[in-house]
Amino acid sequence: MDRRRRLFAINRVSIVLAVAAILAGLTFDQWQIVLRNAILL
Amino acid sequence: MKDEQSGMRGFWERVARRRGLVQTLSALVLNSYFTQRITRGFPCPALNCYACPAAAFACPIGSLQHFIGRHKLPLYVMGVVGLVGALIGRASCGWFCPFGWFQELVYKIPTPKLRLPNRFNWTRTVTLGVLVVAIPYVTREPWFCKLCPAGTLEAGIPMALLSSDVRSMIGTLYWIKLGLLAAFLGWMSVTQRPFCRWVCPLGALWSPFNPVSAFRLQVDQERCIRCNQCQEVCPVDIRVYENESSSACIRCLECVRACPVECIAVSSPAGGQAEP
Repeated sequence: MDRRRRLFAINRVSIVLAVAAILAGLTFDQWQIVLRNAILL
Repeated sequence: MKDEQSGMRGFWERVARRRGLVQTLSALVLNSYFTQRITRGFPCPALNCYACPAAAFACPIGSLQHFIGRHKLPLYVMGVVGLVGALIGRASCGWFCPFGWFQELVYKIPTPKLRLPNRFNWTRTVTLGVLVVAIPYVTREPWFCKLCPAGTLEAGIPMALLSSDVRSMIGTLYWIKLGLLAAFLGWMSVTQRPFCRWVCPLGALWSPFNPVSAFRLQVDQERCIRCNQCQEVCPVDIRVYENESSSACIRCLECVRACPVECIAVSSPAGGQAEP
């Protein structure tokens, strides 16, 4: 049960970190960088 | 409670039966062309070359190299890759990746088959470290893209066929790319998903998420009879009862369908803890 709870917690922390990274990237306009790079190919 | 469990298993079995359809639709959506002026700003959850004339989304590995080559932290791309990994682990490889699907189709060609152990699949991480991170950081060039067989298939060959300008630029590197693709085509026809198992850097990024992702497999070890039916149907040749969170597992659910004693279950994508 402890192992399950630990995995569950790691999963939720991973999701929060991933969303935080996306938001941080968006504030640095990285969506535009990805788009421009992909369009210019 | 028992009814609920068998109902969930029936649901996942029905989902698994439609995997071929999902793979086909995914290949079409990822290469649907018309929305590319907007949607190419989103990294897709698969290895799909964005130099393909029809690609609608950005390749996460190509985008990652672009940031690394510019010595910028790829927060957005890593966030998207991390979110997909945390939610479904490597299920994207089994359900959405057009190149993974292509490998499964090539394996259906009737040839003598060669079964290889998954022991050396750490080579994926070497590809990630060397060709996606280290060399692009030093040379500022996306070296994985230059050699990627998925890119050759989806973009290199079609672009050369469509454009005389591209044809006029063909040099040694192009022939090396074609040679690599030909080698992988040969390997794919005899071994299951070799690129996914030993080379794919996107698989290397998602592998560590397999034990902690919301969508994962659970095996009832007491009920399992070790018949190896799961391995027989597995596109990456693993025995799921040995490690239900194996880094090689692509969550295709073929084992859930094939298990004669129904001891493999799917945990709830919402993070629930369903019993097999």
